[in-house]
Amino acid sequence: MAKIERKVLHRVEGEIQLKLIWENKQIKDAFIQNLNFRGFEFILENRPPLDALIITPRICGICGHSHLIATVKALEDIYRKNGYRLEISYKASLIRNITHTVEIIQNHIRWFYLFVMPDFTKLEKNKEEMKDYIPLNGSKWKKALSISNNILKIVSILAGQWPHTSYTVPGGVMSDPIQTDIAEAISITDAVLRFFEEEIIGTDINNYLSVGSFDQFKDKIKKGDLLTFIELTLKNGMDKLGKSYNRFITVDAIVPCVREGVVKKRSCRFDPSKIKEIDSYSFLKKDGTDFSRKRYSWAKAVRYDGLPMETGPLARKVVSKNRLFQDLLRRFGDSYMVRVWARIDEIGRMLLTLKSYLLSLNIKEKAYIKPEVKIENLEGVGTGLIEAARGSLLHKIELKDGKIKKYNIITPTTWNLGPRCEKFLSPAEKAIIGLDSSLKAEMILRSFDICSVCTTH
Amino acid sequence: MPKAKKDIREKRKEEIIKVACKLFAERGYYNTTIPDIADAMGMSVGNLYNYFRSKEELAKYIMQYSSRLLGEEIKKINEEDIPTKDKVFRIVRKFFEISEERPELIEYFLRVFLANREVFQEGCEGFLCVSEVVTELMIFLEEGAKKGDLRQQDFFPAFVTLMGPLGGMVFLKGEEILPKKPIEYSQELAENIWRALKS
Amino acid sequence: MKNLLWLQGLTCSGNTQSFLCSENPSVSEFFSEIKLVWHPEITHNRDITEILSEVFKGNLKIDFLLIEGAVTNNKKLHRIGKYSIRYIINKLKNMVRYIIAVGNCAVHGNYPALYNPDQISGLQYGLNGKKGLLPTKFKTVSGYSVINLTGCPVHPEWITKTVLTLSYGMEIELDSYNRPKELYMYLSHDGCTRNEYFEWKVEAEEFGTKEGCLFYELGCRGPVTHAPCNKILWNRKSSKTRAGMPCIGCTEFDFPYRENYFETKKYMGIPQDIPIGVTKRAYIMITGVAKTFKNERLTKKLEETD
Repeated sequence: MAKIERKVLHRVEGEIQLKLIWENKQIKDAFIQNLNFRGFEFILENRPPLDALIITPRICGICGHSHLIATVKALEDIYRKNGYRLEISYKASLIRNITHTVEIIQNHIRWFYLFVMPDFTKLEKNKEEMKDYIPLNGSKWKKALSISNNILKIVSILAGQWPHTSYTVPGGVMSDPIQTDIAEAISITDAVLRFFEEEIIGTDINNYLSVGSFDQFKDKIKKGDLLTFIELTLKNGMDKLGKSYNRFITVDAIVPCVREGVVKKRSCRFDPSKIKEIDSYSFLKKDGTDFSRKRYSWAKAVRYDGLPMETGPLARKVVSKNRLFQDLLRRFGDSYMVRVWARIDEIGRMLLTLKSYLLSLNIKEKAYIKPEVKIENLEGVGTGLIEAARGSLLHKIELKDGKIKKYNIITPTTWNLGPRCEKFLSPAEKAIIGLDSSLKAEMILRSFDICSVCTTH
Repeated sequence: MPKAKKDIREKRKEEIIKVACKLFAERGYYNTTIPDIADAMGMSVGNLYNYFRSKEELAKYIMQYSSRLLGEEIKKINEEDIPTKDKVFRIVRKFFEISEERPELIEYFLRVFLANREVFQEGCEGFLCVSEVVTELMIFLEEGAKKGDLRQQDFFPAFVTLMGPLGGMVFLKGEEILPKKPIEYSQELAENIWRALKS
Repeated sequence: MKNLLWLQGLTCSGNTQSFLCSENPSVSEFFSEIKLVWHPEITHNRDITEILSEVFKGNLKIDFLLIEGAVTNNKKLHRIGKYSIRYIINKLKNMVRYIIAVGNCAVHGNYPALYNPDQISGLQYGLNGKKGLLPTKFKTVSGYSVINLTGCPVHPEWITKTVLTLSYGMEIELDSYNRPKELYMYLSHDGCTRNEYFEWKVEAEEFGTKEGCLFYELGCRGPVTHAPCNKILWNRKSSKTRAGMPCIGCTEFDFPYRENYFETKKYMGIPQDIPIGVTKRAYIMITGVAKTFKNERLTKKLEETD
């Protein structure tokens, strides 16, 4: 007899409601419901173009910065499409990359310690072992939150504040840091890197980066929160759970390659024209809203050439042919453990990338070079693509008569946690089918790092 | 100082200004001395120095006094609840009224102030000594643009378009070329200025 | 110990994310002085529907109710479990000691309310003069109206200072918008590192320099915005204007429906909105004087000054 369980999920940047259909003590079907809607795409219509830089970050409090960068890229794309060669100084590009990278790192740290590890405190029988991860009082929880605040100071130095800055416009950035600002940023980066080494991987970062397989990991890494996480995962059988379609998308490439619906082994370039939003199960239709029974979420389903794709750090690892993750995928598939590990791994690599950006910065270059024409005088469609913390983010803006005519946003969580289409469940829905525990279902959903507020904007 | 005494002092200053302007016009700024002015006033030089410590101070004061005078009148027009076009006409007319009632002040502005900038270098930099007039004109232009009656533009071209014709007319009078009195051209001039500035 | 319940309406969670950045007190330190009943991103072992049940029944008394996000009656747009947030607030409003609206959305609806200003609003105010959820004269049992913290987002210290001050039994004075006077009596202009450029009317004509005032051309709302952003620094480090981004006036009620945030609206070269406290006449006169006397130091890049 089928039993329906409804859960309200928090610690997902917003709120998700979950409808689980149980049969024979297993999840037979799962509906991920995003029920909160703010209508940002409508709010943006008829506004002056540059106002989008103020408005889109306010779609989301934790990844608002990614929206800012996607918006400025979409606006700069309009210049390009109109034949203007916009000059952005190397310094401005680097500063944009720096603040964006900082947000990703901070997102991952907060997600792991605030959203992921506390679930293990419920799953684990031995409560004493988990006390450091308990929210508010656990020493590791406190330390992680504090270090996530430290790295954000780099954004404050370069962009004024976090959250919600709009410090970049077509043509560059607004800030003019001095040399000692950069030195301070480097010092902060080093401190966070030390945290990563001491607390998360329990070893020197170069040692960790030399790991190319699961077996090598077990040999070389002897302590740290990553190891603790892996051990807990293995202990609770979650190394095999949470597998999805094993299909990945990043804004650079998709894996495996999909051409005309046929799946080939290797990767190929991401083609934005192959994206389709399917609203059959969404409250939002092309021409209004519809609340008939089968529709269950404000989010729309997104498909690439008709197929569902997973996006996020794991996708980025696959696309970049990362050696360690090729091994992990072979052994464990795209399971919960591998997905979470990919995110944690990214913290370390991004810290190194961040440091190299900072060291390459030449403060003597111009921060902002005024475009030849005002954007209000241009028309057409511009696209901004960016890899945000949770995966591929797409902004599409259409300008006409000096105003925004249409604005379309597809967020990473829409790819992962949108509703189903006629043929396929979303990657996250698929990942929890067959589970025997709703707590594990929650945990697997969180492994996708849900941003519910983004998904429904 | 009790009010009555203050009024008397102010009146005396006004008389001094009148006389000084007349002498500056007849003999030129540099050829007129404080004793000349005192003599024409029937005052002792020491007494005159009670009012103005130097010729330079007097020179600047005359400018500020004129500016306040014209500025007050324009402020009254600004504060009236009438259409922008009417304000243009009123301002132009008021300017010519003052140039009729107090011709020595307008003369002073053209012949002494503008011609001897070096006298006014310290203490009258930029718009400092004409700030009241300039402020009221700024307010007039800003409110006109805000209402949509005047064309949006930068302050300076608008200012010159408004004041240039007025100064030009008075200059022509000084050259004794005008067949009629300047105030009789007031309507025509105001119409020109309005058409130039309106949106 | 007093306790605190944090609920979200239609929100981006920006105020929560900002709150998590709190230092002195840190979030953990803060919740050692105030007991946390529930917060959507912190609490891991309790369900909000259970907690609301207990509170509705009267078994759990709440001292501080913090609301982040806009409120609506329309359950199709927003729900917490099976309830609309309007329902929850109406039930709780006479049961809690203090209600604090955290962020613009909870105060007056902000951007979400633009989508449907009749159905979406803040707690005691709506957009552009529309009504909020609660009557304007409403007060909680403590005698305070809803305490409004405008901002998009708010600074964590605005939250912690307000809650802690009240929890110590001290009164806080509110301004005419029911915002804590001591926070919102400052202008975001006060303390900006570019104040000298403002004084001497040296304008920044383009973005990207640390010199120059952003008020004259680039839309900075510092002199007309009530916020302590240049006194209580963001992330304890800096502020938008210090980093070259104009203040966008997010703590003022007209924030969501203003347009062209990066342009100073001018008529004949004079800013439409002049600094608070000064008349237009006075402002123009002072500007004239300041522009006349140049400050040589401010005409150069700082690195080239003595």
